[in-house]
Amino acid sequence: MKLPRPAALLVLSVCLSLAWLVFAPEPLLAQAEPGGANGGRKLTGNLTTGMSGRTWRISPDGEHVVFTSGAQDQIGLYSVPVDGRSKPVLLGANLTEAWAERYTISADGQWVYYLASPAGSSVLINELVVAPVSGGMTTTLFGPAPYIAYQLTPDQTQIVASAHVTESSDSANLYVLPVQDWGVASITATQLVTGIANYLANLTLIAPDGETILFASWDGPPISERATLYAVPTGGGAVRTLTDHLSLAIFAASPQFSPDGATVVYPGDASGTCALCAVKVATGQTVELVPYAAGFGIVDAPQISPDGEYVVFQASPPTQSVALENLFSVPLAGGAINTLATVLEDGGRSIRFSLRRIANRCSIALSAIRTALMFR
Amino acid sequence: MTELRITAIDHADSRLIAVPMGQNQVLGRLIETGDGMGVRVALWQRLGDGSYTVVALYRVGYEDGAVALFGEFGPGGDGRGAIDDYHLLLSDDGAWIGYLYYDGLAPNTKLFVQPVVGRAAQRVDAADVAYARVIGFAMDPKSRYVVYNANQDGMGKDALYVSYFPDDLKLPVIHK
Repeated sequence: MKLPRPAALLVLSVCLSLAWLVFAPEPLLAQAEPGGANGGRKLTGNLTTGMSGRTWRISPDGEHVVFTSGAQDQIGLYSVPVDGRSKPVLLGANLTEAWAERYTISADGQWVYYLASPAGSSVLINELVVAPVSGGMTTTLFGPAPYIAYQLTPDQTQIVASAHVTESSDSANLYVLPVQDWGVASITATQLVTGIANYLANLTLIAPDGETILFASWDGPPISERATLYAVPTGGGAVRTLTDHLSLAIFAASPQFSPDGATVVYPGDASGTCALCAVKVATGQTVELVPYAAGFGIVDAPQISPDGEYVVFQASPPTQSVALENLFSVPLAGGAINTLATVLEDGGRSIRFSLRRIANRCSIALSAIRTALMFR
Repeated sequence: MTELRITAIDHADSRLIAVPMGQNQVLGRLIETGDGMGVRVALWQRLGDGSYTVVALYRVGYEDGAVALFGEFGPGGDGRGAIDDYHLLLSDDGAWIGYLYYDGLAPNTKLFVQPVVGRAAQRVDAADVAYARVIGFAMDPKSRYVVYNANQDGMGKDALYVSYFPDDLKLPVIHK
């Protein structure tokens, strides 16, 4: 039987609608649904949160919520406008548990960067993809390659990416990509450093001015708590070894740039001479902020003050036989160590503190001892 | 309301401002915000069942060390406030507080928002069936709404929700 054309279109439309309802991913099923008597509105359907739970984020411009749903290697990345004008849209599929939460929303709220595994590939292989926050054509920026890691420079003009040479290798290459009008121009990644042995992706750091990249490799095998720290200009150039005494001790924080990007502070390894060290990126000159000879042992959680003049850290005073943590400061240029607070609560290493610049002074906020400090 | 005592102590080259526990009823924890005016100390109160609740928020000024009441919690007058300081957020502009409130019927947690000055809290979550709970929330960087994930059935199926700050709570608020 041959249906009249309008009837055929109607049947086709109904079939497509039914197929959509059956096969559409869960988060797409809800839109602007009233949620209850208290004024809330449902943005999504039920999400599959997996074993570790899923995260969601509000875009920096406050216009969208970006979220993931799914489990194992079938995690989808979605966005939905907060004002409910449209349903959630799928930004990317094939995200895996390992990298699903490593998505980044651009500062203007317009783009979402994420890592996905290409269909049919090993879960260790991924690629860096960018999608418009409201959905649309995605662009693969980098990869596929093993163990890709990436971060945007502070001014969001470049992406620093790394990838291992092979799935079974600990060696990695470092790249930089210019941020541009994605989807319009072709993307060219510039290889900055080749074959970094025993690469530590989570210690790669971009200077606040975007001019320098720090990266590290651990000394081994065998696995040790000692690493080497390098610097390379983001625009390309020679790699400088800043120290081969970087400590990877569990309580030591990762290296930090001073606000002007000129100095790097790092926790020292016991094979060196300083427990807390500062090094000039341009010259490689090292300052022993806390010499090992001072008897502080491991220096915990060093932070540079916002004005770049002091480093605040936790440590056990040399005179104490038990691990009671005190708070100290030392000038970034080197000098006398000043005790700011004594015997932090419980002597534990879970103390949180942060530094702020208020007027011409620096302040410290301490989370666990119920105090606020001000120095200078 | 538990009696609180705030004490400021001057040290030689730094100022230490202490918020004592007072009668062993109140614990203090610090909550930071971005307005640059100081730190906020959330004061916890021990409930009859041994659990704690956040009942008030104080500001400790960086510059002058002054301690001032910043906001009080407890929507039902039952002495309960935010379930903990990790579930007590201030908006980026410092004008709004959002927090999760435990209503005593496990695992129920509800979401309340309130301006930091002059108005009582109002429940805004949509999870209004039995055993529903709000799990986490975040505030709009422009202070218009709160987004939260909640489950309605207690079976772990989360969905995302949005609630705009209630119009009747929007008064001219003086804040820094």
